Amino acid sequence: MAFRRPLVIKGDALHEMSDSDIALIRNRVIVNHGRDQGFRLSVVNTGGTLSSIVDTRKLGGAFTNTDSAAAGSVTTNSITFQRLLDSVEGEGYINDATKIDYPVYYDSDLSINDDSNTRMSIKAMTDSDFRDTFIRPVINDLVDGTTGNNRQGVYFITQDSTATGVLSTVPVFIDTVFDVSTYAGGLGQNLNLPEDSDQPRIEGKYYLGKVPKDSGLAPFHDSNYFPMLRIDPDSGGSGTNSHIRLKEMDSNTLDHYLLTSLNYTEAFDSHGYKLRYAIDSANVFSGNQVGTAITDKAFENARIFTDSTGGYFQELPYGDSFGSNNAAVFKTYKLKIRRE
Amino acid sequence: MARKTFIDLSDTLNAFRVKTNVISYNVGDLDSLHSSLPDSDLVQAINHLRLTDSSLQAGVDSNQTQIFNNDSDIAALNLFAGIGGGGGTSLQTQINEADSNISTIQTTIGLDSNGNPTSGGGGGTLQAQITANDSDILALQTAIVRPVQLSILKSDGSLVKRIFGFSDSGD
Repeated sequence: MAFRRPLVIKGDALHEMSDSDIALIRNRVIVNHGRDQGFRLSVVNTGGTLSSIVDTRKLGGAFTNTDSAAAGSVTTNSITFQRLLDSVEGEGYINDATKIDYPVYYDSDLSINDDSNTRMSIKAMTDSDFRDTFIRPVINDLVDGTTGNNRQGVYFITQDSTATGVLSTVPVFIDTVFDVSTYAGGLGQNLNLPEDSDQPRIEGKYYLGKVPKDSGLAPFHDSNYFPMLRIDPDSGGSGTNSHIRLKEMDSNTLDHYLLTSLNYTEAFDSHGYKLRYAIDSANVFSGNQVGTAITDKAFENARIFTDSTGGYFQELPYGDSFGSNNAAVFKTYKLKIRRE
Repeated sequence: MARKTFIDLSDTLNAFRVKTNVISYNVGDLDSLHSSLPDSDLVQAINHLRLTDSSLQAGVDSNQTQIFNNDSDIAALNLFAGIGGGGGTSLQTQINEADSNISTIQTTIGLDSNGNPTSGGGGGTLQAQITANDSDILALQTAIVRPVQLSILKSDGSLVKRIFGFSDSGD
């Protein structure tokens, strides 16, 4: 496992890739992550595999015409959403059976440069070299919780159904609360009791999105892009006269290698670079939140209302005792990303 | 004193016996002849020796001929090698001339008679020029030109291709 600087041709000479050259290829990895991911999320109506998200909503109690003490207590209604389905899609793998599939680099460990002679070695990268140089550093960045253009393919939560990258009009979570507006003005004991026990109002909807692909982050037609070189066994000649070429990788081949290696690493890496998401409500999943937090709100308090005649009593959800009739956050869920 | 034995008419029978035995002693015992000689009588033995002597003589003559031939060959070699006053193109002469040439070459290269570089060899000697070039090459390697080896490796470290060349700068 080692970082390498592959060789490229600049002008008429071989050069080791500079930091900016490598940064461009890493950005290309991000573009490929926008194309496909080794660990995918999708929206389903039921049967998701990520942890469920529960919508908690208070219900009005049973009314009575006896006295306030006889009024039924407010109850809690819970609706479970499990609409996030994950899947691992990293079956592809660059086998590298010939040991010359990956780009070459100048191996200083095998080279000598003294007063009398120079021995240089150009060596093909291993699969592990390739991942250490281009893939794993990108995964390390992808899990930082941001969702900008340089985090293509990263899933996130948004409340904006029209936001760029939203994957489905089906929300992954709908937060409802008791609609207190029906009696908000009735504190003067002028309600027409009984109120319906369940008067839901949508407080918020949450959607799954994914930062879309934008190849403009790392275009191959950029004048600063230098294709990496691979060993091409070529044809013609044999034995000591056999022909060996160092050939520039074409962009399609490079994209294929980047995407395949990225997907495989995301799905199965055994060195801490598998990419995973989880719904976390108790800060037990050590990762970074992507997108907005999902809040399940509910009215924490209740009070007993009477009608204008004073003959009916019903306990209904209510904000707080100071007249601020706002639902409180009952629980917060976060979609988190991390490498593991 | 002559040792011939004669039987006189006046000799007695005993004297005749004695003289006859003397003759027999003087002739010797045929059984004592060398086993390679016929021993039926002395004439055959002597004739046999004559035949052997002829064969030996022929062998000696042949060897003498070869010696004569070798002698002329040796004389030719002496002439070629320049031993004993050989001609101007003799081997000795050529060796002497070569020795002179080697001395000239050593002087040109900048070596002494033992083949070692002469101290402070002259600026014009080959050794001096090589020494100067060596330092020049080292200076070039250090300051300007150096070999470059470029290895292209797979991600597992195995070699794809190794390329050799030279760089025009030390950096």
